[in-house]
Parts: sequence; structure tokens; C-alpha cells
Amino acid sequence: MTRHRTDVLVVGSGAGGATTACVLAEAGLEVLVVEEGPYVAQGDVVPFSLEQMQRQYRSGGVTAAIGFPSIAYTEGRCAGGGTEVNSGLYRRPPEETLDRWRREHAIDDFDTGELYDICDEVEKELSVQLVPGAATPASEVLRRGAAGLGWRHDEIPRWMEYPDGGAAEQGRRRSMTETYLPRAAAAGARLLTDTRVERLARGGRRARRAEITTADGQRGSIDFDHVVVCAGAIQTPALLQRSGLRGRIGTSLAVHPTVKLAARFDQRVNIPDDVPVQQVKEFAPDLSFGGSASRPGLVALALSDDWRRFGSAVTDWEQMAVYYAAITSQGRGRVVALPRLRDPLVTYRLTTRDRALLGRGLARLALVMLEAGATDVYPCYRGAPVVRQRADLATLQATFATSKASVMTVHLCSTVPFGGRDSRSAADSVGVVRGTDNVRVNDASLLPDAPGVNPQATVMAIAIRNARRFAAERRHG
Amino acid sequence: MPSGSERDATTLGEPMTTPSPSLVAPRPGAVTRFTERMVAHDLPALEPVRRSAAVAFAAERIADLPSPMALGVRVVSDVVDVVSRAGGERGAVAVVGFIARRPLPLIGDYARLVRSLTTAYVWETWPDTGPDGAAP
Repeated sequence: MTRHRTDVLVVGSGAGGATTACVLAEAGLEVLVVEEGPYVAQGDVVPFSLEQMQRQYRSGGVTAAIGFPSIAYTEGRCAGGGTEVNSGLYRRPPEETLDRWRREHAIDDFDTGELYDICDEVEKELSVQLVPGAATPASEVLRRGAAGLGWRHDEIPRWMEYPDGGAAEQGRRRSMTETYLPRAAAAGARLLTDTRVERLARGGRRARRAEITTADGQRGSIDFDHVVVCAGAIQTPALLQRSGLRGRIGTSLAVHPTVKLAARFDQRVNIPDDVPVQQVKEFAPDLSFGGSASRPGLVALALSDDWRRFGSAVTDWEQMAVYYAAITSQGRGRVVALPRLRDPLVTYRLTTRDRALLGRGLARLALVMLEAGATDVYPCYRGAPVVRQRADLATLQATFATSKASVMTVHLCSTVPFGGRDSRSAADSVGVVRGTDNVRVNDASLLPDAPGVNPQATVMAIAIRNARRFAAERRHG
Repeated sequence: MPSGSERDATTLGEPMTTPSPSLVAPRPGAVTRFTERMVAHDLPALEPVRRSAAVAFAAERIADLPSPMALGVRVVSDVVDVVSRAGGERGAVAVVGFIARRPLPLIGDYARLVRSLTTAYVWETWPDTGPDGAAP
């Protein structure tokens, strides 16, 4: 039985946890970060490979929100969390989204200028930049297709370092294990990997101890004065619920649902280890289009919804790439920790509008592909037509149904929304869980809804803001 | 004293008992039998060694599913296994062929899960595999 003791326990080491640990450690607090997954250094595994999924994703990447249809999602489970495995695309939170959150959720002292100043710091720390050299062919497809249609599109910056004039695939990601976690460690924070927090033991409004299990099954505990839960939008509410905190926690999961297609061209477009950096924003924020990882296994996966008709295309995987249409959903989901089950039940319900928008989005994405010169487009749903000309798009829209489609998402948030509205906010304006004095949340769970852009920048800015408030409170308290 | 709405926002209750991870794991035999037949149906020319590797990969991933998904797969895979075994090998092959072609609720999700795992594994491991599973 291992026992630890710390001033502040940070649960999770992703975009929220790493930044929280860094700010608090640099403010002089004693910090212990506990991460359920292993430490895997950048470069140790091939990006987007099955080995990466096995080592750095929860359940090997096979996780889903149950519904009609179920929505596949992935969670990073390693030191650095999702920042180690995602596409590395960076978008600041839109000003109108921050304004709306402040207004509708009564978030106190939520200043856009302050958040954008933090974004400046984050962008410097993570080397956020455009690709200095050549874009990948799959990225160029999106640019060419959107430009041909006269649709708004742009290159999304990434947190990547490149050699001088380097091409897209030469980038090295500036994830949390390369940035905020080493900074936190330099300031004295400790990182405990391969250790799962099972629950927080409370006495009334205060939590005092975390019960932990290591990857090899050893039990232990961590005594603390404060705990900041940053385990992501699924595991954070699940841990709070296992600890006896319920109410609004886990009742308002928000995601960006996506549908996909695979497109075949006359020339090679596939770069297995990278993703396109272009996004088409003509219909944003409701709809946006981008590129997915397209390793051969993932191309085959995209064709597997109708393998008998689509499977023959797989031999041309080098001339194919996978693209997505993402929507801003009006649906909501739930995360429910169940007695005697290790993992929570996750559900999500698309609205009628969401379903229609996904179909429209897939058709428009197929149009971008045709405009870019695709010879064959394979939408990812059972019974889909092979789209070879514009006339086929009507068949696509007529036959599409989400119940037949592979719907997935990578952006999960809003399960412990923060703000000042008693009726809607599970945490206060700086992330303290309602009904508690020393339990904080500081990750994507806090976002009041899905921001309509890649959320990591938003998560990091809010996490740093909240951690600074906490550090100041400790200094003066 | 918290207001009524604050009480609604967070309910303070008793913590849960320690989870028991082994309660809901799908039975490996049922999953393996179905996956073997599914791969044989989709990729008839896949060499036996490769087929075994793909089946083992899928079975390993399914054994590691989050518990609620594992519970669902256990129920569905047990039902499919019982139905398949009732008709002998020919019946089992027919059942898999039926499931593979039709979008059945729940059972269709199970088939999709198995197919997506095996397909991704085969082309990730041997990218030059033919659409029927044949090696070049």
C-alpha cells in the first residue's frame, strides 16, 4: 500500500492538467500529477498507427457513446493526454463564443482580452505556426476543392516545430510532454504515471484523499489539501460521480459529430503519418470540413461500411485520403458512472437537425472532393453510392441516414460546465465543483458547450486562467 | 446552507464501491468464433496465419472495451454464438453471412465493430493485401 502526500493533486496530464500543474508549481505550490496512462516520449511510436492506439489511447481507441447511432470517440490515455495523439491543430476560441458563454452562463470575470493574452503565451510556448514549406497533397485537395467552389477555407496553425522551410510531414509536435509537463517538473511538480484515481474520499464538502490503483494492480492513496480533476470530459465526471458527486455532473456532454468519406484521385495523395491542415469554413460554425489520418488501415476502415461494393478500392490506398464533415451539434449526451463497472456509460443523442446537417455536410464535402479532381468518392455509410459526378450527390443525400453511418468525434466537452447559473453550472466561474470547497475541475469538461473549433486552445486558455486564480487565492489566503 | 438550486447543481452522496472489472468481459470463445467466420466471409483469400493474427487482434481489443460496451458485446456475442452453434458449421456460416449483409440493430453494431477492427489490422499490417484478403 503506497501512500503519498501533496498540497495539490492534479488528476490527468493533458491540455488541462499539464498547464494547471505548471502554473501551480511555478507559483510555489507542491504539486503531484497523477496520470492513468504510461509515459511515451514523442517519436517513440508512429503517429496514428495501431501501436499508438494501443499504447496511448483508452481501450485501444475503441470507445463509443451509445445511441442511435452510436458515436465512436477516442480519448488519449498517456502522459500529455490527447495532445500527444491528436492532429495538433490550433484555433483560438472565437470571440463571439466567449461573449455568449459569459452572457448565457454568467461566468464572472471572464475577460476575452485576458484569455487572448494567455493564447499569446500558449502560442509562443507551443510554437504555433503555419507550415513553412509544402503542404501535403491531401491538404492541397481541400484547398483546391474549396477554392474552385469559391468557398472560404484556410490553413489551421499547428503546435509544431519545423526545420527551416520544412514541409508539413517534417513537423515535431509540441505536446504537453515537450512543453508544460517539463516546465512543471522543473518547478518541482512530480508526475506519477500508470496510476488510476479510483475515487476521492470526502468528508462533507472537502475531499481529503484519493484512492489509487497502479497499472500492476497495487492499491494506494494520496492525501491532499486540494484536488484539480483534469481527466477529460469523460473521465472527469466519472471520477466525480464515483466519489459521490452527482447532480448536474455528466448530464450535458457536447461533441462535434463527424461523418467521413474516402476519396480517390489519379495521383498519390496519401501521407500516412500526417493529417491535412486545411479546413473549409464556408458553412462554419454549423459545418466544417477537414482531413483525417489516412494510414492504409484507416482507408480500409473507411471503406468497410460497404466492403462488398467499396472494398476493391483499397488497393489504391496511396491515391486515397479520408476527409470529414463536422457539425456543431444541438444534441447532448450523458456520462454515468455505474456501480461495479470500471468505466462509465456514455450516451449521446443527435437531434433531427443534427442528422439533417450531417447528411448535408457529407454531400457538400463530396462536392469539394469532386471539385478537387476526385475520380471516386466513397461516403462512409451502408448503401452509399460511389460519387463520381455531381448528379450522384442527389442520390447521396437521398440515401444518407445517420443510422447507417459511421459517426465519430474527437472533441468531447461540457460535462461539468462552469459559470454562475445555479440551474446550469456544475462548477463555479473558476472551476470549483458546486457543493465542495476544494474540488476543482480544469479541463474540457468546463466548456459550456462545444466551441465549434478545435477546442485545445480554448481548454488551455481557460485552464491557465483558472489555475492563476487558484494560485493567487492560495497566496492571499 | 445551499439554496435549492445549488443542491440541484451538485448532489453530495455516498461514493461507489470499488469496481469489479471482470464482471462483464465478453467470452473470448464466442468472440473468436464469430470473428473467424466474419473474416472468412469478408476476406476469403486471407492466409490462415494472417487470419489468426487479425482474429487475435480483434479479440484482444474487444477484451479491453470499456465495461458498458463490453457488457453489450457479451450479451450480443453470446446470442449470436448460441444461434450459430445450433445449426452446425454450415448454419454458423449462414448466420454470419446474414449478419454481414444486413443492418440489424445491436447485432449489426457488433458485426461493424469486428469488421472495423479486422479490416484496420489487416491493411495496417499488410498494406498491399488484395480486397479479398489475398497476399500480392
